Amino acid sequence: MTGIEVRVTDLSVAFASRPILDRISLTLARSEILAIVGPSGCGKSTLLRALAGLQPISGGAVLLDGRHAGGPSKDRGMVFQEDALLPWRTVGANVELPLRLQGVPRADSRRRANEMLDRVGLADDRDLLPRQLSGGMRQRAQIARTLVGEPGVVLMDEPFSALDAHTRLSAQQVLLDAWRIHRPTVVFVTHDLDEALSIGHRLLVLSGSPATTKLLANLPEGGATGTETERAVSDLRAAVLEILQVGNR
Amino acid sequence: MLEQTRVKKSVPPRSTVVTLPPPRAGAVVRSSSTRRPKIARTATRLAAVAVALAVWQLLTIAKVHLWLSFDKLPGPVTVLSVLVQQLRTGTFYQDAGVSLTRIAIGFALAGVVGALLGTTFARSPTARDTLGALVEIARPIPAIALVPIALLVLPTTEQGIVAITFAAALFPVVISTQHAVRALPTHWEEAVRTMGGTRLQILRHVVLPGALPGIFGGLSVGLGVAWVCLISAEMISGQYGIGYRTWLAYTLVNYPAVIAGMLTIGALGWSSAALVEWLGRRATAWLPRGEEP
Repeated sequence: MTGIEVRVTDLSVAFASRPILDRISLTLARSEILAIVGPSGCGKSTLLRALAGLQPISGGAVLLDGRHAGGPSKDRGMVFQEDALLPWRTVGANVELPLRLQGVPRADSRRRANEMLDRVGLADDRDLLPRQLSGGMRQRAQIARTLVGEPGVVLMDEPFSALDAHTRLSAQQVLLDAWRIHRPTVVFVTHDLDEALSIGHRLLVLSGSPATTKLLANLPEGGATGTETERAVSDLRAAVLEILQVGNR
Repeated sequence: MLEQTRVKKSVPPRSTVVTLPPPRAGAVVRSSSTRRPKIARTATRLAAVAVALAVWQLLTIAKVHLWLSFDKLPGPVTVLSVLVQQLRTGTFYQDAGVSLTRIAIGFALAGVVGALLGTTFARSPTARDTLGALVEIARPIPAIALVPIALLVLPTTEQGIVAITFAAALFPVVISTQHAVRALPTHWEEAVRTMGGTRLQILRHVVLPGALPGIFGGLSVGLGVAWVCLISAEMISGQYGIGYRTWLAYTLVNYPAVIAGMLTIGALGWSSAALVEWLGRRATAWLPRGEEP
């Protein structure tokens, strides 16, 4: 499956009548990577969970290729900030799980899981338990498990926030390499502006209470260089930092 | 305010290789070679048991009568000879078989029903407020106090004893399972939901395996209580079983047989607890147990 178009219209979320998100609207083209940044606690993860169908919404709609999204489904895979690998299953069994749940025969699911583990550099670790892996390896395994079912939308909630700088760069590269295979639509929440700029096709900045869209910036394809590009990125960075500083006050 | 900006993408960040200093010298790591060898520990334990038996034998030979009276208590040699005699009779194995069958049925039923009830109470407020309320009322009543009613309402004494064993083991399993299920990290279940997992698949792949450590904790506690209640029920109303045979020996003033019965009960209880522990360790082999550095 390739990417799914995601259309969010006037999405609002409230916890116990306290509004968290206020009328968020955006459209993600198929296979687009949207990076979301914002001050801590502003509702980035809530937006992601609402897109996943894990968070009830109080207003608006989430449409996937024009159809109402509803509750969680295999169309929307999610990579969690926490270690969400099932600790009693080996790495291989974890990555096979989405396929087994979909009724894919064991031999086929094992082959596909092995291919995905190979792509994320964990081919030799399939028989290990998650606790025997490092933090970076566990997140790579999570990415493999999410992508193996070929979801049309991949939602990532600060997946690399607990990793050191070097491991984070490696994990980002693994993500981009894996994304190129089936090209799902990706929504990537991060608190790291550099990470957002290097991964995203577009950047969404959320801020305020309740959170609203403060900025939505298009980013060109990777590889673009030059003075003009650097100046534009520098201007964007300054604009985002100003929003974030205001949001953190 | 919404602001649309179009910029060119920056050059991807490059990683920098930094050479870190070697680990600080002098850190002491306790290696397995510094631990006491297993054979030495086993020898120490056996020696402790041997000393206790020797003290017991000396106290009975000397017929010590202080605050505790050892003048009528049989010594370990006498008890051992009675036990050896019992081991040569069919009655011993019949009694042991009956007791083990009763506890196996009652305990297995308690394990299955307890795990199901605990899971249901943890995940369903309606079940917790209805059936759970009844369980909470029944829970403080010691299972042994159910003997008269169990024997009254169930068709046979045998079923009554099994029911009491079941009731004894049930509540620890229910409570442990309930707490274990409620303590499961929510993102495990959410991850499976985003894979399209159904409620049944979530139970099978997340809730049950995740709660197994708690379930086995409840089973371990429940097994001890079940043995207490089984032996008590057999003493009160049994016609067979180790508890019945031990109580019969007491009424016949056969103290060596009483102690032989106690030792048999202890051995069966220890063996069954070891079996549950072994099964639990196998079922939860994924838990960290200190084998990693």
